[in-house]
Amino acid sequence: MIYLDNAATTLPKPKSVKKAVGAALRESGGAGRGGHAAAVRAAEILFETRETAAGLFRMRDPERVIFTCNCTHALNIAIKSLAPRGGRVVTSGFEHNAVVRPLFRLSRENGVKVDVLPTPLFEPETAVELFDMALRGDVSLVVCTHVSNVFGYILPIERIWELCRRRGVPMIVDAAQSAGCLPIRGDAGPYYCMPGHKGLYGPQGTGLLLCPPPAGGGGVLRGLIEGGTGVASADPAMPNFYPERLEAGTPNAHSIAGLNAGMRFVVERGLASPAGRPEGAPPSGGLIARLERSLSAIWGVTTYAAKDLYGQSGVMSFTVEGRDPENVAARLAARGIAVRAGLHCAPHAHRTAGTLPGGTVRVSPGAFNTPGDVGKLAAAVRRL
Amino acid sequence: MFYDTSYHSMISCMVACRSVTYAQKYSKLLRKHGLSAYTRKLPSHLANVGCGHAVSVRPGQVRTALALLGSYGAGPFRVFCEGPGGTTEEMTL
Repeated sequence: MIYLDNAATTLPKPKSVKKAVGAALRESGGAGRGGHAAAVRAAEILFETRETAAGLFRMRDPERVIFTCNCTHALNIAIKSLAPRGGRVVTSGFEHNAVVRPLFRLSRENGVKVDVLPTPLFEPETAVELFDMALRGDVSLVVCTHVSNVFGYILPIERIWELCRRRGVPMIVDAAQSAGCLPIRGDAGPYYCMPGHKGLYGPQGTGLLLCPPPAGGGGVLRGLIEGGTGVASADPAMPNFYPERLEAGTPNAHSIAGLNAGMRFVVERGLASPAGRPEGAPPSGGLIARLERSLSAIWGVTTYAAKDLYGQSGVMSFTVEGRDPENVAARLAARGIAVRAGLHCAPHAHRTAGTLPGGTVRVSPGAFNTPGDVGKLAAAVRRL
Repeated sequence: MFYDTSYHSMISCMVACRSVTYAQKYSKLLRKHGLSAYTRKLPSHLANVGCGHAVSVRPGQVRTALALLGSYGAGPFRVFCEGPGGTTEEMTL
């Protein structure tokens, strides 16, 4: 199989990840619960992983790295903690349902007002202008994806954060497609939510929430669940400090061990888009550029790519005239090529880009893909 | 500063931390500075609200350890010393 669906989950995983999970399954007990060797080993796994993440994301304090089940879990914690009852939340036009649905629920139950800005595809300057205008009003929270999971469009989150910081508005960044691909500074100010199983090459069931230090705009988040933490057990309230405040129940130390190995793989390989761009090349990398050239030369194929590719990460969408994207993906799957079609859980992104109702076919190379894989995909599309 | 120097006769000293995460963080920090330090659970009668963790350090290094941790903005801490018979007493800092 030629696997080109790394934006959903990276596959294969590095050998070191499999090895780390296997060792943890054999050796680790309940982290922070007992004082015996197996419990200590599990606690070490957790702390080492927090340290690796803190290093990768340039954070001073590893305790501000929170383990979650996935990016959606992290986003739910952050959004539900920071969106006040009756407040106004501003988002980009490219948000995933992991952002859209929690906000929809808050709008129904807590009277939160949600403004989805019509930020056009691959126009970062316009995005900054729109956020600037929106933030002149009374805004409680900004939530913005770093990279569109459909189009690979890199949103100008640093500039949007600067607007938020000046106005004292907290910001949450959905880093589902950027973690492990683009530089992220966890101490810079926004809350960053990310999965462990995509660009960080860890197992599924892992995610991270990076909390900035208080001076950088941080508040005290509330967990979605309460329970045991292995600390202050006689107190009926959850601890008031990170990370335990947000980590109720036995942590997934086995998979977290794999996440640690995955992040070390990223560190060793160097921060790069899953497409494995050469140094100095656009973030979308060599494979996306090659793919765009090959596909756009095929009659009836429309590719969605940033003009210079500098505004694009390792994801690209395309459509084939007269063909349902799901049909295209199914035919490619029959030829042993794995891509994803449809709305990619991001209907707002398709509405913004004008690719409703059918959506697109999304291609997302990973660390183990080669130019040959992309060439075979283009050849298969040509034969459709 | 300690006014009581009898801790030198103790087996080990435990610097109580808010959680296992902090105990590990501080243990690593101290080891990085050449001190002997490891993470352990606090005896239950010493943990105020049940289940606590600590950094275990050599009695002769307690003063240095606390100064180091303080220089990183950590603390104040409660410190307990364990005697040869398993008895513990809190150090007055």
